[in-house]
Amino acid sequence: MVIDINAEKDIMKARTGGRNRLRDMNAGAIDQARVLSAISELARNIYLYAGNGRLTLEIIEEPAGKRGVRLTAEDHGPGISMVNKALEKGYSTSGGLGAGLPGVKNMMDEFDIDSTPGKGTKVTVLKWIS
Amino acid sequence: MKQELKYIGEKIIENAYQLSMTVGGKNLSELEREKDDILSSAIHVEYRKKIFELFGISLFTDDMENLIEKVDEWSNQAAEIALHSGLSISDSLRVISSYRTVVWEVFTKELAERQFAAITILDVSKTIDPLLDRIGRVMSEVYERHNTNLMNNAYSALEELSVPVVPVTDGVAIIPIVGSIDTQRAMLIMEVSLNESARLNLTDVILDVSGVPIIDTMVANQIFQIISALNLTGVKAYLTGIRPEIAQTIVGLGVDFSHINTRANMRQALSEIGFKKVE
Ligand SMILES: Nc1ncnc2c1ncn2[C@@H]1O[C@H](COP(=O)(O)OP(=O)(O)OP(=O)(O)O)[C@@H](O)[C@H]1O
Ligand SMILES: [Mg+2]
Repeated sequence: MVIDINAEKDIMKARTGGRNRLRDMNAGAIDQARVLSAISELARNIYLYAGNGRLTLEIIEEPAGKRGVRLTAEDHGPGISMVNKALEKGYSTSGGLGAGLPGVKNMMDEFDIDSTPGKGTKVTVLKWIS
Repeated sequence: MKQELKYIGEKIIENAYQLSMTVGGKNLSELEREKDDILSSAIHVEYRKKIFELFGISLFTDDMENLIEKVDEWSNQAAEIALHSGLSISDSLRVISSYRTVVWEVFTKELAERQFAAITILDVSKTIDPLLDRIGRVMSEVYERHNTNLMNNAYSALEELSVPVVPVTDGVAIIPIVGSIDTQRAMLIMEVSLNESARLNLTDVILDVSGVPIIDTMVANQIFQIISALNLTGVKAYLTGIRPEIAQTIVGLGVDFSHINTRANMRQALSEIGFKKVE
């Protein structure tokens, strides 16, 4: 699933799309809520800081039967000059709680962020679904 | 021929009032009786008289631009009057197009005796028809604007409905929030809860979020702000209806709700408030 994020309503669209995928996977309520809030956080960061970008959701299936969801949030916005700071709880340049990125990092099983000032930001996360 | 046009123009001006009455009195077949009464009302007749005068002037004026301006002005107001009288856009346009023939009603004698050259009659139409089209266009625009306003009003009424404030006992109300919260909705919840708290003299408000599918950091932040604004105005706010999976993600996000009065459910919050009231 690929959702272009250009407006606030696209955040909801991404969440709705994500919810349907997770339901199809029979993911539990808690896993669903975690992935959905990660979608929400990443999509909102795109909308707030980059204006435009895209969020991709992929379902991962390992031969052993292990299943997971990978989210990729990519934009060509201003980038983050101090990524370490952005990952600290309470750091926000928009008057927010500054809990989005550290929260997503905490809730997901894998977290990777690649950001270059002036070029853009790419956040990739993975959550195994039990 | 110019002479003839001037004659026709002046005669229209002279008889403007009578022509205006003709429109009202004439039983336009498609219009119901009740609408006919509206058209015959004094205000309509008086106002309509002006456009016939303008039609008359249009036949010999040197300053068409100025005349068109006046026609536009007239049309704008005519649309307002029509709107207030409850006439639909199609009723109004039908009435306007009837003017085309009405102007000739004072010339029955001349027409019967074929006093006007065919070209003159054509010239009259060539002058008045575009004016009639113009009136129709301007009036449609006013109707359209009016409809857009109506829609917007209906829309905001609908939005307000999406933040219902339900008074339960004296000074206590529940605000059940159902559906996703975006920035606009959050602002609306803030506005409605503050206004209604003041209007209803509330002391305690229960914000119930059991119908909110997800509480992310933005929504959490907005809830904090709504609650502190309520607190600032002396209202005690409770937050209820946080489902278990939502509680887990709030913890996962590391968002601290400890400074908020959260209760497991509405009943719990209510009994606590009720208990306090008895004290
Ligand atoms: N895609 C992005 N492009 C540019 N800057 C970003 C992006 N995502 C995050 N940032 C920067 O990192 C900071 C921290 O982000 P984080 O999501 O943790 O908190 P926040 O968005 O400020 O508040 P919230 O708690 O509501 O999410 C932001 O304030 C912003 O400066
Ligand atoms: Mg954020």
